[in-house]
Amino acid sequence: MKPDLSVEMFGLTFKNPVMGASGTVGYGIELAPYIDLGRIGAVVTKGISIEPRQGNAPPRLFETASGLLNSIGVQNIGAARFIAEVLPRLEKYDTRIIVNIYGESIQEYRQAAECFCGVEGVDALEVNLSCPNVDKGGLAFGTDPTLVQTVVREVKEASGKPIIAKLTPNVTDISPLARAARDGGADAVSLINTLMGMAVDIRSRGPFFGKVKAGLSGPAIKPVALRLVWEAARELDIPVIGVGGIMTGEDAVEFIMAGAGAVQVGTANFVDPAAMNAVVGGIETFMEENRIERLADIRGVIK
Amino acid sequence: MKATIKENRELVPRYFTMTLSEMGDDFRGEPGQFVMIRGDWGSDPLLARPLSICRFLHEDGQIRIVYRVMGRGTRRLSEMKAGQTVDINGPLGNPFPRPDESRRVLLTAGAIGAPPLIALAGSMAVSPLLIIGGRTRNDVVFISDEIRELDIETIYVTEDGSYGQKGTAVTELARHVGGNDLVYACGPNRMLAEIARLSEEIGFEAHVSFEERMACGIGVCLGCAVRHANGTYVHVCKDGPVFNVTDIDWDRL
Repeated sequence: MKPDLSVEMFGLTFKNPVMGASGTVGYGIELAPYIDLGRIGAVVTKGISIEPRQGNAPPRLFETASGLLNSIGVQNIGAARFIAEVLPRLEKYDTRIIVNIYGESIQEYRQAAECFCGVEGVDALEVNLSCPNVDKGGLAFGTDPTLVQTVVREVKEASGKPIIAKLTPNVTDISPLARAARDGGADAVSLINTLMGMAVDIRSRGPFFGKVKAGLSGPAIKPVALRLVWEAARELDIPVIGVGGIMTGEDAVEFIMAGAGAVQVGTANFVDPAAMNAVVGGIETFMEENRIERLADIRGVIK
Repeated sequence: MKATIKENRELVPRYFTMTLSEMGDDFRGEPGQFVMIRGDWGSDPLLARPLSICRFLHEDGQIRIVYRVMGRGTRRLSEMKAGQTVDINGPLGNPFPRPDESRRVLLTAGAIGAPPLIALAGSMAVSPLLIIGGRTRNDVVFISDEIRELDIETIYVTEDGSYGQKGTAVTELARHVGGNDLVYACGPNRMLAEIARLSEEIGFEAHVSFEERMACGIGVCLGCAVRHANGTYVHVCKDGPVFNVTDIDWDRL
């Protein structure tokens, strides 16, 4: 018998637990030439703000040992153009669509969320509470439990959509933030966003990035992500979506055993645009080989 | 897709030629396009490397890339042996616009910028003039086998005068180019910016190909941003790598 990879979260069925992480799949449609989008659980768009954003001045990327530092700065076409030009093309695929929203103030988060109120085809919003690459908003919001709770409450009210709060790992203790997201009415949390890092250009004796600090992703951060997902899952009764350095199906299984309801694949999409199909296949193979019928049988087995 | 390394050989110190076979029947690239290439070496280095296609050997279903060892990724690539396989994504990006061969065509290469221009020369009926500049001898002679094979009229120029003329590719271009000529170039940003300035001064049409860091090569990471003349960022992988010089904001590059 084929194992059942489906996942139920906030009243929706996802055909499997694998999602494309925000910022690594564009708006989703860019990957269509490489993978069957209908074979993944969901696409999470890159961060979308009310107004278009240009993003940061280059350089924007720096490769590290088994990882990648980025300083993109939420470059996006804005909510109106996304809804008018991109969404109709994305909706044609048989996958869940989660829109990641970004703002620089509570007001902007609320307005961005309002743009998606009643917009069919958008299944949920993920609130980017943790972008390290911008001067305002993002991380500043993500590290303050009171602000996390307020932003989550506001976007939920404004959009009427299920809300996933994307949490930052750049804190000493994730528990107060996880609880704040839940108390604000989040339907799930996703973690981790990138770990804050930096790179030095020793020839110019200066920082490599214009904003000095940048976000680290890739296999290098997987152990940290796993630990934080495990901690958040123990704390919360809402789903925890695990993200950070997942390259294979076996990596994804580790997150599920640590308590993740679903997983997001990020930097792996840069290395291989077909990576998500391989992750889905890898989970399936692991379940078959180990006679696991449902993901619930292994979810959170690590107490 | 997987491709098999048919040959991987050092041409001069740090410069390598790699011929890839079994590219698959649907591999149809054009001059100026690139591939993302990666060996099966685990997670470090993590990302594939964007490398321009130097030769399309269609009849044999092969492509050739010529690359310089710059860092960890290209070093790992240089250590691979014939018979091993690599992961290839491509052809990617926009090719050079087809040259109007009734005009004189000048190709200007800065060292390892030469390979895509060799591909372009190989596709033309009339031989263009190639100007290849570099710091020293090895930075220009690495590509001479390809130049001889395609019989391309070439001016070599080195900054230290160790081979060919003494000077830079741009000083040499300035001596030869006229307002009605068509210029194609690939090299470091500083060189491309000088060509843009010269183009404005003399009035020739110029298309340049950028060398840029990339994570994905397909427009999802948004890492390879350059400033467009209209003030927005465009991306070398998807909007380029070839741009008309008038499309770029050279002052804010």
